[in-house]
Amino acid sequence: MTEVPRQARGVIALDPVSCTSCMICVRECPDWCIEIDSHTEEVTEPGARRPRYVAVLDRFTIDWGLCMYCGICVEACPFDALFWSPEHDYASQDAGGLVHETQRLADWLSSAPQR
Amino acid sequence: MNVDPRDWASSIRAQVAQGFAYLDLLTAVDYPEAQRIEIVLVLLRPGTAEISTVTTSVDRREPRLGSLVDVLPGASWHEREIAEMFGVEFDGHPDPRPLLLAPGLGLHPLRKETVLGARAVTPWPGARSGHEEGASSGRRTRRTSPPPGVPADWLREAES
Ligand code: SF4
Ligand code: SF4
Repeated sequence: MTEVPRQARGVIALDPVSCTSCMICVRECPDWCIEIDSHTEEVTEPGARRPRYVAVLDRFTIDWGLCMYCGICVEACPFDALFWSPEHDYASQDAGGLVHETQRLADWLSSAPQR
Repeated sequence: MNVDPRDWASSIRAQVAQGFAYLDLLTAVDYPEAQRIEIVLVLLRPGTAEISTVTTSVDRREPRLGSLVDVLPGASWHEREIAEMFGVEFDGHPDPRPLLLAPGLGLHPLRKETVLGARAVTPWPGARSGHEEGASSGRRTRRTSPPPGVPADWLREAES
């Protein structure tokens, strides 16, 4: 059998550390398959006058049942948090099983060649 | 290469004879203002990176075109898909049964005027404002324009 090319669009990997919860990918996705929950946390640095607010990502999901593999989210992310991986072995018996949560998306990172 | 619809099958036959024998893509694009539907065919020459794109346009009010199944048997499914999605009739298609949609649906979903009703009732995930306004508290900003494919007046009631 022919090998799947490394640059194939198999699945999208998320780097939760790089993701700033900016919502750009969610809004650019034509199929509405990405959902994000996030909140802000106050950080007070020693010596700083005012506290800083940082975004904390709570949940990032992609619904592969809706995704058309266009790659717009990967292109649009300004923070290099999304990458294509050639992995494609994630069929599911039910539609809910095609919704990948944060950790499952992060697990694809090791197979993403652009990373 | 753009060809006259009457020369569609013969032009493709000539391309195949020149080695562009692999059907990569066969689809259509709706241009309502121009009253035409464009049919797009992409052929590859196996073993090389060469591609050949052939297009033709049919009248949107009575869209019909000769089938390519005689020339490229693999065109069969694509033509059945275009028939359902755009309402184009393919003359000489050996098996023009519906392929993807429920029989009797009565609309061609990839024509521009088709209303994407599900979009009006599906919450847009981008309506959450992310962390700036505290998405975790459940607050959502109001969407100012309707999603693509939904008539503007459909949402007026919900927004008032
Ligand atoms: S690849 Fe396209 S359809 Fe899939 S999640 Fe990204 S933007 Fe959405
Ligand atoms: S565009 Fe990138 S940084 Fe912004 S929410 Fe999406 S993945 Fe995270």
